[in-house]
Amino acid sequence: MAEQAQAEPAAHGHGRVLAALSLVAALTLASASAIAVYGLDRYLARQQTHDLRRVASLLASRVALLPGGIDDKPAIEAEVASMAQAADARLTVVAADGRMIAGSAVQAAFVENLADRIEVIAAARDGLGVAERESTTLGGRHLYVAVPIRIADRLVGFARAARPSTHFADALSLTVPLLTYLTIAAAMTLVLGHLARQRIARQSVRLINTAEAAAARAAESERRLTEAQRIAKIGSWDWDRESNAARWSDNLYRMFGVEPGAFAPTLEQYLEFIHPDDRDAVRLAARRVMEQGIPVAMDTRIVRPDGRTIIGHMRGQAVTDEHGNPVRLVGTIVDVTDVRHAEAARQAAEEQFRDFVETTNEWIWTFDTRGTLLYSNAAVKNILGYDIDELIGREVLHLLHPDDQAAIQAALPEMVRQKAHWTGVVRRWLHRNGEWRYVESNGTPMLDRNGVVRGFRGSARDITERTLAEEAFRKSEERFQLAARASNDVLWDWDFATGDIWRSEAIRRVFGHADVANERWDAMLHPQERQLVGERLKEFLDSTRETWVAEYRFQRGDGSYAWVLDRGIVVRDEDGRPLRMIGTMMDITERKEAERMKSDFVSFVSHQLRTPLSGMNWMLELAAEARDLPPQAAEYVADARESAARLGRLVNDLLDIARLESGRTLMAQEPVRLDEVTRSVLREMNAVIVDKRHTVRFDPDGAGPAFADQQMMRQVIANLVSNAIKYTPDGGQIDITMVQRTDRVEWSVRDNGMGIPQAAQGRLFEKFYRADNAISREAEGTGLGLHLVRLVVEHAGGQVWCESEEGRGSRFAFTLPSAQTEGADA
Amino acid sequence: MSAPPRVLLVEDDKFLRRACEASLRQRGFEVTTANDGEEGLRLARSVPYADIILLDLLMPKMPGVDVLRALKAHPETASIPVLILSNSSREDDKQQALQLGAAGYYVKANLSLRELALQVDRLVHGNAAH
Repeated sequence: MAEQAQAEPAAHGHGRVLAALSLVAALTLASASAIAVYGLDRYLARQQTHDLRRVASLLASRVALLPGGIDDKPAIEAEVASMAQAADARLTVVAADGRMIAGSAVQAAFVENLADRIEVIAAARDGLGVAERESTTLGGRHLYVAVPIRIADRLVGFARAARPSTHFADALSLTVPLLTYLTIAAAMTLVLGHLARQRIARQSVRLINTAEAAAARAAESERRLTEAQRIAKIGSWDWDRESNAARWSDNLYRMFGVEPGAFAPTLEQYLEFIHPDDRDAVRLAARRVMEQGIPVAMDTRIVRPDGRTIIGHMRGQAVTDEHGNPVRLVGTIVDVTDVRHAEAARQAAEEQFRDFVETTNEWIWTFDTRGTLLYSNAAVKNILGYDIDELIGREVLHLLHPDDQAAIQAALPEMVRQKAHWTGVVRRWLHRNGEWRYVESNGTPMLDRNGVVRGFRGSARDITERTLAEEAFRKSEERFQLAARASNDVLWDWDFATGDIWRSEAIRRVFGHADVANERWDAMLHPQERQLVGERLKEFLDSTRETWVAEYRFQRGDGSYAWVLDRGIVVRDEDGRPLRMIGTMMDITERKEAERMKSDFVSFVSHQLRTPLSGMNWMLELAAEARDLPPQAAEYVADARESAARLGRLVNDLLDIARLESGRTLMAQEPVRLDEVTRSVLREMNAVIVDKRHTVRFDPDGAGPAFADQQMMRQVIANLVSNAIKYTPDGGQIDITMVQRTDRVEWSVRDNGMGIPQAAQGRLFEKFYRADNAISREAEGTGLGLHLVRLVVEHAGGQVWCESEEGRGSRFAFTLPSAQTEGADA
Repeated sequence: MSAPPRVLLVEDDKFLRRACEASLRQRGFEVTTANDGEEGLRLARSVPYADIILLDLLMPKMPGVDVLRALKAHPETASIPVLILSNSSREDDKQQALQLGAAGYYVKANLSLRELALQVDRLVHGNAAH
């Protein structure tokens, strides 16, 4: 612009004033650009050009007031008039250019960088603030000029350097921009006119000299404008129709990748740089702006000589003459490559997020503050059974459970006020099929520009299955807890993977253990049973059995011992390894105590019975040996001896049972060869067998040893064999067999005797029980033998039973844990 | 013909004492009797020593176990075989007596006099063989 101003043909003086005014115009344009670049609106630019016109007309009016006696008044009048004219013409262009640049630049600044834009606008406002404060008085009127601070600073320096007179030192000590200086110069002329023509002339010359200096400054201004364009990535151009001469700003050349002024810019030259695919569109736009005055606003790809393609946003507008014919085109090109690339990247990112949202199972939604569904992804169908279209734009809170709906409506105002976020909130929604679904959501508020909540967005998921399962679990757990509390049994749960044993709180209530978690179970057992129970437990766990039963003494919190009945089941993996064992411990101390007292009583009585019994036995034995006993008496003595012997057996059985029931006699768990025991018993009873002419067969079938107490098993087998001999008519058949099962040995004796009535079979193993036909047949039984058998066998972890048919015979059998080591012969 | 074997019978029940004494005398033993533990121990320590001692456990004044312990503690009586004749079939009692050095343990109610005489005879002659 400054170049143009200097290029104007001008007479001496005339030309200088005009040059000064051109400088003003250039600065105005620069300031307008600067303002525009910094994002201010066009109004200010227009306002400035308006002020320029006012300055020109003010100058004219003041010159007219000069006294007629001044020699060069006509010349000055003429100069000012032509200056005003020229200013008007320039201003038209300047205003158009300014608007143009401002219009483009606003966008350029906007897209460049959000953070920078805000900062720069703030700076520009500050500059203008200074400018607005700059004012001076001329003829009682106030003149306001908006000048960016950068320029204002320079002009103030300029005005101070050109200070014409000390008389006006005060006035000029103000920080005055150039326009203000000009008006002051004019006012000075008026004042000086009253003093001396010569001085006026000198002052005028000084004014003009000053204007000359200002012109030099204009070049700097142009440089600044170029700098501003470079920063804003703007290039400007204009094209004169008549001369077909175009001008590009330096930065436009640089944008195109060439040195400024490297070629004369023509439309054709310009098109060379345009990507071939975009050229037609550019030609069409050029035609439309020239012929129809339609402004250009389009993106074009510019291929630079270095091969880089940039995207330029081109704007152009026609400048028309007084007839409305376009005489010039002015415009800008903004490098928007980065912007467009950023836009493309943003679009790709948006697409990615859209894909996430559309494919996820999470229900993604946006509600306004009244509960209207503004957005939803398709996942809503899985949760509520509706298509998106059926719900979007509708108020959907009525699909909530009434309780939840009321809760939300009550909470909404507060949520809006507090800009509430939430996570993991569960609400019940009505599915289209009438079922309630538990839906868990996270949400965040959507704020408008003023920070007011306009709605909420977030995500939700259906947790119905989980919730119902949890609910069921909670109920089950509650039921269990109540049952555990109601019971006096200690429930325990042993996890083999961790070794942890959980126990119910009854351990505290019943056994007084404050801390139960880390106690080791076997450390609480009575030392007398600890090893045996431990071995039995190990043996049980190594077996494939499922149920565990044990009685032992268990230490209470106070150190005393309680008798417990410990029962449990074990859960095993497919290889039979125990995973978990769960069961109960019942306090049976009272029962045991009663048993013990009973047993002590029995023991005492039995012992006391034995002494007179021994006396009877021995006296009768002496009597039987007496030589001179009458035959009748000898017979009586023999009968008495038999009765005494039976009493002796009864006492022995009673003692054994009492001891077994008291648990004080712990039977050994040793491998017992049942076949050997059986043979030994048969040898002992051989006399009776022969006497009754029974046939006895024994088939051990290679069965291995069993875990039991050797002595006790001897009694068990003796009892069973003796029963078979006793309750089978003479000449009977007795078969004893053994079978090796996987983990146990089965022993049985079968006879073809009188059998046992059906009704009696279930009670056979009870203490003191005797079947009716046994009593009528044989008076010798005590009713304790089978009970003893059961006690011994069950104590050893086995089972005993009987199969019988009255009149045809019986079979008594028991099993015991096998002591067969793996790999041994079966 | 050697002197008949001397048996010391320590038993508080008079019927048992009588029956046992009669049976053993009939079978040719020389029998001395004591009514309680103290008397038993005193007689056991008197010369001539018995060839065998039959000892009850549950007795007034001194239990049989203490008598047994005292006999085994004294070198001059330690080698005399002692047969325990009790009416307790408790395993603990039996084990204790055997550990203290008793030569045998019998429940009187389950023992005939004939069998007792056989055991005494066996022990005495086993002892005499030395």
